[in-house]
Amino acid sequence: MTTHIETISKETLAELLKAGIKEGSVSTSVTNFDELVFENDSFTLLRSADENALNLTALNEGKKGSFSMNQLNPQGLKAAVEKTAEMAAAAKEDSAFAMAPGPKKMNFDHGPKVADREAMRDLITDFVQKTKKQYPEIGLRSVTVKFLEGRTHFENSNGVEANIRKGYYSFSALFNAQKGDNSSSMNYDGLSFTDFNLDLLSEEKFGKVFADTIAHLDAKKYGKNHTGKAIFMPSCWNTFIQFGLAHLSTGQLVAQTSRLEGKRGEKVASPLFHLESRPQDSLFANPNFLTSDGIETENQVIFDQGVLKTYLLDLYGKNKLNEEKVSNFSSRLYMPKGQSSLDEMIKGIDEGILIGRFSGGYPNANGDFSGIAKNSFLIKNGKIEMALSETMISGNVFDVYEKIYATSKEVYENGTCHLPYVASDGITIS
Amino acid sequence: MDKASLKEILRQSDHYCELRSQQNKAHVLAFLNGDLVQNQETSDAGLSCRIYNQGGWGFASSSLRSLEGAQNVLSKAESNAAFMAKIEGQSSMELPQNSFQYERTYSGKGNLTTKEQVEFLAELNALVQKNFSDLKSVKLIIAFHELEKTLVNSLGSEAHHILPRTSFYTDFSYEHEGEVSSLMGFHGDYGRTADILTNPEDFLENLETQYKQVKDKAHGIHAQGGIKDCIISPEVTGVLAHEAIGHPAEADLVKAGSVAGNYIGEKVASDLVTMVDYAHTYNSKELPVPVYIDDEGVEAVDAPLIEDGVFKGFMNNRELAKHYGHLPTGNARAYDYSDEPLIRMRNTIIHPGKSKLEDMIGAIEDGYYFIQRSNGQADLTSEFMFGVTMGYEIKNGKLGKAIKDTTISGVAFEMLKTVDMVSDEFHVGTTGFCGKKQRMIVSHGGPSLKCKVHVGGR
Repeated sequence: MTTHIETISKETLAELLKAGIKEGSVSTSVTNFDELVFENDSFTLLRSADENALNLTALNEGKKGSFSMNQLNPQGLKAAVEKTAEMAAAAKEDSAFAMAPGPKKMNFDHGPKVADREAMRDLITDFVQKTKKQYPEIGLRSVTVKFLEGRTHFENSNGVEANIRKGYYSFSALFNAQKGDNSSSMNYDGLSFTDFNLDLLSEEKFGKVFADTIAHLDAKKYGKNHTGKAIFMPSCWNTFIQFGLAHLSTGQLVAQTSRLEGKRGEKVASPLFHLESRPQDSLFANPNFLTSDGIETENQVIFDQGVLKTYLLDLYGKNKLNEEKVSNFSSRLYMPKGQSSLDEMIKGIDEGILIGRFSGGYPNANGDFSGIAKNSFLIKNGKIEMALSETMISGNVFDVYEKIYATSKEVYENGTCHLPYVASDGITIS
Repeated sequence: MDKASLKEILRQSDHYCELRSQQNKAHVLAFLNGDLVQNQETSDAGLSCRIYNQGGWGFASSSLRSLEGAQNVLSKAESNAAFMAKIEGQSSMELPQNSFQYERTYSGKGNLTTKEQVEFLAELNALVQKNFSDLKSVKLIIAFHELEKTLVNSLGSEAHHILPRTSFYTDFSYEHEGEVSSLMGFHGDYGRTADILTNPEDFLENLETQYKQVKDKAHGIHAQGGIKDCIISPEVTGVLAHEAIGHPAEADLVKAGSVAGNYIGEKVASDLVTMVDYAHTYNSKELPVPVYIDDEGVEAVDAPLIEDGVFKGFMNNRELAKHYGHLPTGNARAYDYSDEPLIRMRNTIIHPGKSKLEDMIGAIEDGYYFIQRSNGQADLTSEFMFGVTMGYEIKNGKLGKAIKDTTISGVAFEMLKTVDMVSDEFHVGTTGFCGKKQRMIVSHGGPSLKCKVHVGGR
C-alpha cells in the first residue's frame, strides 16, 4: 500500500526531474513525540508534537543544492521544487557529488508505535521514589522521558526507495548530590529503550553514577602534576572514541587535516582496541538504518586489534578520494568486553585517575587534548583514594589509543553504544 | 498566521494560554579548498500552544499552519495540561499578569541569492589563495538563521517580530614539520546576508591577522599548566560571562541548585566587574540579539547580574519570577515553533573598564594572553572550562611566543575576584548557538580582563 509520505516523495521527485534536474532525491517524514518532564519536586511539562519534514536534493552536472522544509501542502511542495532547482543552478560544479546507486528497495520497522503516557509517568514516579529512598543525597533536578516515532520515505532518481518506521523511548536525568551546604557538581546520564521492563537503579544504569556523584560531596583538589595511567569510564571513553573518529570523516580526510590519512590497514592503536559500528544491531533500542545519502547502513569493524580497517566516508567523500565504498556507518558503537574486572584494573595502578567525564575543548588537529576531568577519582596504591575536584587532564588522543593496556569485563550499554572501561597511559593530571 | 486568527482560537481556553506561529529559515554554504561542499537551505514553520493548569504545563505543536492546525494544537495542549493536573501532589500558583505588545519587521536589505553567496565565497577564497598561499586547508562558511514569530497570550500580549543573524566562519590549517595547526575565525551580527556580507575585501584585514596567528601557533609552544596571571580577550570574556556566570544565574538553574542561588547581595567579583544580560540596547546602541518581548509575552528588560562586584539577581520567566518574588525579566525564549520557552540569555556583557591593553600586558611578569576560544562549558557551581585556540605567553611585560591549543578553567565566582584590570576595549558578537535542551541565538562580549586562571598544560 502506498503511504501518504511515499506519494509525496514520488510526486515531488517527479516534479524535480520535470523542472530539468537530472538527478534528485526526496525524503519525506512525519514524526510524533511525547515528552514528560519532572523538575526538582514535581511534574512540570507534557509536550507533544506532530512534525513533518521534506528534504530535497538536486544534482545537475555536478552542481548540488539541498532544501528542507516542513509544509507538505501543494504550494509548499511547488516552492520547494523551485527553490532546490535554483540552488543547484547557482552551485559550483564538483564531479564528486552523486546519488546513491539503485535500484534498491528497503523496508525497516522498529519499536513501539504509540506512546504509553501512563507508563512514562509511572517510570518517572518509581525512579524518583526509589532514588529518594536508596540515594537520599541525590537531588533529581530534571528527569525526562520522551517517546518518539518517525516514519520516513526516501526515494531517488536511481530507483532507491526506503520506507523506515522507528519508535523508541529515551530517559534522561540531571542530578547532583547535596548534604547540608555541601553540593557536588551536576551530573547526567541517559539511555534509549523500547521496553519498560527497566531496572534504572541497577549498578550499570544509574546505581554506580549516583554512588560516584555522592562520593563527590567530599571531592578534593589533586594539587600536583603527574603523568601516568588512567581508566576511562565507558561513557567518557565514548567521547574519546568520537575524537578519533572525526579523523576518519569525509571533512577531515578531504581537507587533509586527518592524523589517520593513509593509515588504513596499519596498526594505529593497541591490540586491545577493537571497535565496531553496529547501526542495525537489535542490541540497540535506537538503530540507524539509512545514511543521509540513502545508503543502507552496515555493520563494520573500524579498529581490529588496533589496526585501522576503514575510513568513514559519505558518498561525496568516497568519490572525492577515489575510494571503493561508502562507509559512514559509525553510529551505535560496539566494543567487546575485556579480560579484567574494573577492580583488577584499579588494583594495577599505583597512581592514576579514573575519569568519569571529560569537559574540555575539542582536541587540536594533532589530537592533543586538555580539559577538566569531571566526576573523576584519584587512584593510589591500587585503591580509589578520593573524589577529585577542579582537576585538569591533558594528553593526545592517538597516544591514548596506542597505550590501551586493559579493557574491562563490565560493559555499559545505553541503547546507542556498548563499551567497557578502558585503561591507558600517558595522561597528565594537574 | 496573523494575530487576529490566533486570538480567535485563544478564547477557547479557560486557562493561561499562549499561541505562537513561527517560521525559521536557515541557509548554510561552505567552501573547502575552493570546492562548494555544502549548499543547504531550510525553512520550517508551525504553530504551538502552551497551557498552564494547576502547576503543570501542557504544550503541543504542529507544522500545520491553519485555523484547523491552531485548534488542534490548542486541544492537544489542553489535554496535556489536564493530564498534568491529574498527577498527584501538583501545586499551582497564579502567574504574574504582565502583558506587552510589540511589532517589528526587518528594515534592512534582505538576503543575497545563492548565486551571489557562492560568488562571495569564491571571491574571498581567491583572495585567500593569493595572499596566504601556503595554508594547507581553507574552509569558509556562511551561516544565516532567522526566526520570525507571531505570539498572542490570554493576558493580552501580542507580538510579531523577526530576528535575522548572519555568521561567517573562516577555518585555516597550516602544516609545520608534519604537524597541522588550525585556527577558526568568527564574525556574526544581526542582519540578513546582504547587509553583512557586503564586500569580501572587508574581511581581508581580519584574515591577515588569522593567517599570522595560525602560523605563529604552528611554531608555538605548549603552555605551562597551573594557576597563571592571564589576560583574556573580549572574545573569551564573552564566553566566560555567558557560560560561567550567565547560566548559573538563570532562575530555572538556580531552582535546580545553582550556587548563584545563595549569592544575591554577596560579593562575588572584584569591584571592577559589572555584568548585565541586556535585552536589546547597550550604551544607546542596539545589540546583535535585540529581544523586546519574550515568548511568554513579557516585556524584555535588562537583567543586572553583577554590579561593582556584587551579585544582583537572576534571569527569569513568569513562573520563576513569581516563585522568587522578583519582577519578570522577559528571558523566556524558544528556538523552534515546537519548542517550549526556556529561560535563555539575550546579550550578556561585562562592562568595559579604563585600563589600556598594553598596560595590562606590561603588568604581567610571567603569564598568558588568551585571544581566541573554542567551545566552553560550565556547571552550576560556576566551575568553567574553555578551549583556547590562540594565545601568547607574556614574559616580563611583553608578548612572547604563541602557544598551542590549551584549556583554561576555574570557578568563575572565585576567578572574578582576581580581576585587577579591565580594559577599555569592548566587543560583542553572536556566532554559534547556546545549547540548553534547545539551541538559541545569543550574543555576549565585554572587555579584556586581567585575572588569575588555571591553565591546562604539559
